[in-house]
Amino acid sequence: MALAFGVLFVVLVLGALVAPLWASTVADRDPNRTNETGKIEVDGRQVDVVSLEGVPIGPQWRGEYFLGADANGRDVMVRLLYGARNSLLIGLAAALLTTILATIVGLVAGYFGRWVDAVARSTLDVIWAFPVILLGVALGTSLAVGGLQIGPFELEAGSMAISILVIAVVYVPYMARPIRGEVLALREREFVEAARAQGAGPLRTMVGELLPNLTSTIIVFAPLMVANAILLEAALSFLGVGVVPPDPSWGNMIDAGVDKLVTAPHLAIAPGLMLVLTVLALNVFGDGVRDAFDPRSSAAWGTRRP
Amino acid sequence: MSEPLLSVRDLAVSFESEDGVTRAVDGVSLELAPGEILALVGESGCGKSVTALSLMGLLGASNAVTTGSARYGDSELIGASDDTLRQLRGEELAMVFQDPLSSLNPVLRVGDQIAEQILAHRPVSRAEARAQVVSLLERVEIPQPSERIDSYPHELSGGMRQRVMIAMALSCEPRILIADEPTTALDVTVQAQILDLIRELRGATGAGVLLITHDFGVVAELADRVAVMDAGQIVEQGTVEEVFERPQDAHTRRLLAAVPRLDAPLRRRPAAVGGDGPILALENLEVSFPVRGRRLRRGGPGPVRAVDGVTLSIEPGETVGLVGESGSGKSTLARAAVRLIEPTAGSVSFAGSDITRAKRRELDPLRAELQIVFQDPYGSLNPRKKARDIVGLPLRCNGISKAETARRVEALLERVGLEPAHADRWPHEFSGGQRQRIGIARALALNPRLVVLDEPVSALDVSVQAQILELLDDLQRELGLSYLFISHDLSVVRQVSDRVAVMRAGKLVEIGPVAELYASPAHPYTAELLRAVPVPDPRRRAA
Amino acid sequence: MTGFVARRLAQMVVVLFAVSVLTFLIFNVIPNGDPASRMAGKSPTESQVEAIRAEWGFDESLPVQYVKTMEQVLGGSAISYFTQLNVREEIVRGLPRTLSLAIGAAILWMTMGIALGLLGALRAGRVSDRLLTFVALAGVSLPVFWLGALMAHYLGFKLGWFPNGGYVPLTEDPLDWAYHLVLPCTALAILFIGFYSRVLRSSVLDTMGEDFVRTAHAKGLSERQVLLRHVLRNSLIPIVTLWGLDFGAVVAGGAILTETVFDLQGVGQYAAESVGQLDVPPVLAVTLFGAFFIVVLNTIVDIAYAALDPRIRVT
Repeated sequence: MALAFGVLFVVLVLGALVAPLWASTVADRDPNRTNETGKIEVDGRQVDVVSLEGVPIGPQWRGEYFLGADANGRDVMVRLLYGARNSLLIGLAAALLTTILATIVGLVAGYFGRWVDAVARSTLDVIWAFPVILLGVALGTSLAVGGLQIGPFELEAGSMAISILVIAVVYVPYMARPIRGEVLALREREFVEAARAQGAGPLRTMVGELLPNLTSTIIVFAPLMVANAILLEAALSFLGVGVVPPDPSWGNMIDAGVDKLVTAPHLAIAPGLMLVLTVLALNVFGDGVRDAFDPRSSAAWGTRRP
Repeated sequence: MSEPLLSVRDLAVSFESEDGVTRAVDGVSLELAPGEILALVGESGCGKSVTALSLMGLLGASNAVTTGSARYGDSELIGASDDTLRQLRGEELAMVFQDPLSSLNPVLRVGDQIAEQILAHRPVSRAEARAQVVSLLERVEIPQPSERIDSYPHELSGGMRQRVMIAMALSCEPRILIADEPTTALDVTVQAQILDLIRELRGATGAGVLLITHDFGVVAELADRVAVMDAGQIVEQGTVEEVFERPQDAHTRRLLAAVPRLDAPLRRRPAAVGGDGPILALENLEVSFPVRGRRLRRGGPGPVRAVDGVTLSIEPGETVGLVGESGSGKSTLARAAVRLIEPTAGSVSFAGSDITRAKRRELDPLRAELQIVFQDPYGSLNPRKKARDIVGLPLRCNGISKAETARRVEALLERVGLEPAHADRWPHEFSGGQRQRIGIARALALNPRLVVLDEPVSALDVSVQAQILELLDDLQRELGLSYLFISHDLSVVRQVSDRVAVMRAGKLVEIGPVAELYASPAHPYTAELLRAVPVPDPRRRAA
Repeated sequence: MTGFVARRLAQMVVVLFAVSVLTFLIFNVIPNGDPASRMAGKSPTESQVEAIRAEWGFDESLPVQYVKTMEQVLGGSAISYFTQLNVREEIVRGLPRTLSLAIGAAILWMTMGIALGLLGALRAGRVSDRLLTFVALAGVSLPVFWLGALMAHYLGFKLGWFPNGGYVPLTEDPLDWAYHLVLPCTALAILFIGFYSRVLRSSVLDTMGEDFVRTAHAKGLSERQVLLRHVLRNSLIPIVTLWGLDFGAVVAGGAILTETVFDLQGVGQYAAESVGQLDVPPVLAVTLFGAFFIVVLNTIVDIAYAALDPRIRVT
């Protein structure tokens, strides 16, 4: 069952990346092109895309406006697909970044111990002490307003890279801790001593001996990190500090849709459902991966959001 | 002839898994008489533990299929209902397990755990149960029982924990006691005490004891009758004298021959290759560990002196054996000698040069000369690396090319008795003995002159053990190696060493040529150790 | 023991200090805007901006600003840049709402999580277990804000079973207070129920495989006795410690989304609004409050762990 969902997820991802091509052949190419005053043909009649009271049309279940229109007359389906691309891209990139950072921090802190470990743990503690969403919102807001300059790199305000960076940093402690714990346990194993007795230096030991034994933990955590990242991105976009409208993200689409639940529930339900399905697919996939690697491991326990 | 307590007929246990059906126990029949000690002996994997667990219905695995019969009085144990088993367990049939640390609940006090069993079977009050627990603890000779009753398992020593387990097993006066490797995890002196205790309790209660073990010495010391198991079947059964003196079965004979004995004739060893001074010299070596962390107990000691002023030297070509019980510091000494740990005081010299404070850079060329083989064949090989990478690591660390490394690795594997094809296998595909061979190959990769062997055969079955010792002997002759052979097993050390050193609590209490030390030990502790070793000869039993 | 506590307190202070500095930097250094002109509203005159700058001390150096703001925040006199309301009062006003939500959700998720987790462990491998796992995973995949919004709309607005938002203080009307909290607590708890049930299931399964459970059976204890006295007791230890951490995180700001959706006007919502406006004093105060809560609970969790597991006490 887990593999089935895994496949489903891969299909979703591919679909999202391919979305722009599909969209252009079937419907409006531009997810951001508004169409408030337009009309389309429904059952032979001409209907306002957005009524005079501001109510957009619901799902048409065909071609144009497959899932209906939003308050600005934009095609929900198209936006959903582009939003998928954004959300998934950010999620995957952030998770990748988190994994890399957490592995490095966990390895180095666990292997060297003492003051290196103390510094690493304090930094992780500080990041962890920040209420996650607040940190995300704070960083997102300030970076959104001002952009960021790290040496020669400059990130524009509101760019996706900022979201990726914020989400990645926020989750580093979550993953680094278990990795560090495992490195601490592995360090005591005889084969590590043996490697040292053979003359292996710290780098060779960390990469050659410890890292291969961490791969199962990392692989088990990876899908969860992606799920976490996607959810956090949605939350941030919902609060207005992730992907900024008019660019679509499932989060900000839900945000816009919540106000219109009474008249146009499809606006909130569609992106939400997509979000749930994607994250669920990831979780089931992650669960399956965990079972495959070690059915008795308590290492990975599912997505959580603080 | 009295009626047997337990009568087992054609017991068979098989496990179903995706890889097929494994028959762990394949038609075992035996009888246990009241007041008798029956030893079930065999190597790892022969099915002795599974037999014991299936009698109590404790197999726990849902894929186990048990057939056959085990009658206890009027009850049939195999396939009995949960209710029946529950009534019998603890009350009539009790079990003592191998590892008392993991077999006791770490978060409950030991007194409570014993009382729990009493309360489950007897209608007594809590206060009465507690009083009974105190007297039980007294009976198993735990000092200060009224205080210890409130201890947690991790606060007790290994020997005391096992006494607690025995007290717990005896709490409801069972008719049958099953002891699964009860002393394997204990030091030899403690083991002797526990064996005495079991013997004495058997006499006092008249219970029948089913003793599971792999140690023939223990069997000779304790058992009345013996059943030898191999591959799920009993290959030989009889009184202990019969089996030891006139073994009928080939497997039994092979096992008995492989057991190292304290009274076996010493092999003539070639004279050690003399040289210019000792190859390894330890002078007043001290290794201390600071004790950190919060302590809730009063009077925390100062730093732990694992090695406390040891002076020892090894001549080229000789084997020095180092014996001691757990906590004696011998493992720490081993690691300090190869500079895996830095000594806090004293000196370590190799081939004349002082390497006590050498930095990593300086030690690198030394790695070639001075190597170490570890105890645990399962832990000493990286499970995620193939054999060729494990053996090749020291070569690669020294800048040897991949091609050359591959060549040498194959040669090394062959020398230790493996095949070149084994190079591409993962550790879990090898047996314990084979893994240990890989560990030896790894140590030999850079042509060392001295190899420190830290309990190299302790985790192996006795027949495999003999093969590895033979391999080590061959290699020593062929390559002119010197060995520091560390072990807690006095019989093994006697077999391989030229000189033997005895360690206790970080200090070296005695050192001397092997024949003298074993025949007439100078230090009382050495004598105590030697007395405690169970001799695999029932005629020489302690009374 | 006192040494341990003292060390942790010192650590706490250091962490909180780092958090406050970081927060301050995030808001003052990174945005390129000028807080004074932002506060001055639309088309301000130069002198207006200057006046604001002087009044609020924006013209002084950063470290000085930091010290001043911290003084105000810790002293309770900090005032929001925008609403001009006293920050401490706002936090005090929002605290009972946040706590009500957090405690309610926490009780709910613990009881349900443990029950479902235990059930799953006991029926491990069977259909009912797979179903429970799937439900748990679904729970964990639902974004709280979406779920909350839908619940508020359909169960609250459409069906009218529950109020769809707002908060009634406990002192005013206990029944109404509870009534208003049902939906938000449930929405918040669902995520954690999914998570905790799986953690407990894992923990129980691991414990059941331990040697001492086999010993318990060998002693002749009944299944129920083994389960309660040995299995559950030991497998709850990691849960309890996790719970402390999560509870802290929820109070500290994890409730933001739920509060916003249900308009509970708690501390989280206050934080969200302030952050959105780059309003430094409330943000600083709320962040410190949150961090403080998290760190305190971290410490309590460590102590609790030592109390529950005697092996930890010695190391």
